[in-house]
Amino acid sequence: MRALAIALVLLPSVPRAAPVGGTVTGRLAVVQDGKRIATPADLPAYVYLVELPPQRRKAHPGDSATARIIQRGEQFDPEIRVVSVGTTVVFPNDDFKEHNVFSPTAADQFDLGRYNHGPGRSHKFDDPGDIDVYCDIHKNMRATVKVVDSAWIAPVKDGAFTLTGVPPGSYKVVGWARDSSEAWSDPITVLAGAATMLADELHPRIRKTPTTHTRKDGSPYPPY
Amino acid sequence: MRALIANVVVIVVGPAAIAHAQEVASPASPDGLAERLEELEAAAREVGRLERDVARARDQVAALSWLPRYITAFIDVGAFAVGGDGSGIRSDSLHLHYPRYKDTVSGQWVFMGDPFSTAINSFGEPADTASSREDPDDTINSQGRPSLIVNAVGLAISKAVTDRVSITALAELLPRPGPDRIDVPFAHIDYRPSPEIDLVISAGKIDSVLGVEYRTQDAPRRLGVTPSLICRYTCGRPLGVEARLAQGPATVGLAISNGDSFDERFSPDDQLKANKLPSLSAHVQWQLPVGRGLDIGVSAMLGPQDGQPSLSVYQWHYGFDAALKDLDRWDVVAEVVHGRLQGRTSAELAADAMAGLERARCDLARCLSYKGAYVLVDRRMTSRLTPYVRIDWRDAVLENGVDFVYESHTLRTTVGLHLEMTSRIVGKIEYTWNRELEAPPFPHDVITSSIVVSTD
Repeated sequence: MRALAIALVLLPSVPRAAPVGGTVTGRLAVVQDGKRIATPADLPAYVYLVELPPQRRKAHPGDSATARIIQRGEQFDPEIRVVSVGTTVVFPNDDFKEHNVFSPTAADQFDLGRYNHGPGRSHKFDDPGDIDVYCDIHKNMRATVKVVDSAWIAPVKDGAFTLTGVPPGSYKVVGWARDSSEAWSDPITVLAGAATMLADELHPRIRKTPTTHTRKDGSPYPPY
Repeated sequence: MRALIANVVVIVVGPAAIAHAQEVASPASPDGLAERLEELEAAAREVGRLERDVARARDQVAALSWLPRYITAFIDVGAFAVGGDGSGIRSDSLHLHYPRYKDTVSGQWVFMGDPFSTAINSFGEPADTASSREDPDDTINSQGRPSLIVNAVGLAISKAVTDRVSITALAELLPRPGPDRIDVPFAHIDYRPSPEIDLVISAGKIDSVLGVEYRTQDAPRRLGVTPSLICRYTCGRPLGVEARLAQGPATVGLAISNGDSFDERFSPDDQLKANKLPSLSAHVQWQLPVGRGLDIGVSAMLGPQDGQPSLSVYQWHYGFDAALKDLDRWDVVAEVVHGRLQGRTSAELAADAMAGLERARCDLARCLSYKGAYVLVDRRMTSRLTPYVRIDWRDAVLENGVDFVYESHTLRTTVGLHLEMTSRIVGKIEYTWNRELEAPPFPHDVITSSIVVSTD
């Protein structure tokens, strides 16, 4: 007991180094119809980390985070966004015409209503999933918000990715591209200050997805 | 030196102290573990109950949220003033301007001008029809007096029944000086054969496929207040079946319908047809990469003439359209149409005419020959304010035996402002100069406005 007391008294005076996260690097290539293809700019891909074992937290990793998807030129920009659970995504309208952002995805249905040019309206994504986002007026406007229970997300550039500042621990790396299934790595161990290279390339597979969608009431868009 | 000593103490003593602390914190006995287990099970039951509560709450919210999602309501209120007696026609009573009808049609039934040129709302209702015989239903009957009007109270329903099938309908209540009216502009069932193909098959009271103006003809969607002079030939909604396919830059629409796509006021009792063959109509459109898209289209219609029983009397229509969307916030829409109702003349009148006698034509089925065009240009000055200009022209001759003749050769210029006060409140005001190209000038310019308030 005496030793414990001494330690507790002395600990605050011990100079400690700031916690150093590790780095995870690796490669990803999308697979379509059994063929490995590069990840072109119009097929953005992302990776994120899943902790092992999964951690239960009171707060979501993205609770204080915000992201933007701009409506511009009758398109969403960007059309793909990967965010942590709890992130609030703002949808500004840069066009001089009305848009109506909505999602029919069962995991997180929402409807922001019609609004014109301006700072836009927002939605907080509290549930993981691939959330399809559309405009009820312009059928060619389409975005996907992938909501993940992770604080470590990185884009894939030229087939490679780097995740930095990862706390030491065990993880799996998940790779994903638009309209693809997720590709999960084997477990990896991240050490403080060390770089961990993923041994195998991740291969998310493009899935066959519907090329059309309906309006928020379920009726078809007029084809003009 | 003090820090060094402190570090040494921590390194030597620390592990022992931490181990001791862990011993203190760990469960002491099986009884403690059992107690903890019970606590966890109770917590799990509580979580389960809360999850069920959340699911119930979500169901209740979903049950209540359908109304604004599937039903849209709007009210269109307007005010207007029209020159003269409010009508767009005058009789050539003395046969001064069209002497060729002197021996065949009474002068009071030889009309100059266009009965729809004094339209004051999105339906194209004229402020007054005067003595018009083609459109005797004088729904506004302003007689040249300015007035406020509730143009329509609309209720639109659109809902998916299954993944592939949905229903869409619009019902409008039209409060009018005489009896109020109920109109159902469209009501159709839509079927999507596959989510992989942008193909929609619709049956019921369907949209026209001719041209492009019909796409924005209802008050909440129309940029201006009134339709163009040629909308009467392309904006009607017949009973029938249509298929619309979009594939890349191409869009194709095909329709088989009871009759033509004319305004229903021309043959109000003819929805179920007077003859046995349907009309066929089609529209093909190609989008070019200019602005937000430059749509170039061609459309055509062919079928037995409406309003008469013979299969050998036909009518045809063709047109060209172009729509430039959002080129530096400019929009341009233009259409040209040409068409003909063949009509039919009785054998007696035809024989007299062959013998050189002046006789009326088209007594068994009316004859109509028409050409028309319009150009509509607008620019979004701000996200709220859009001024627009439309120039439209119609050249038509309608003959109906000795009953009446219309000689319509009209050129109009319309300027207007479209103000979006909020996404649900839109105000419009426009002024139209009407000019008759062959008849003497008479006052029938129009100033009209509209405020459309709609739910989302």
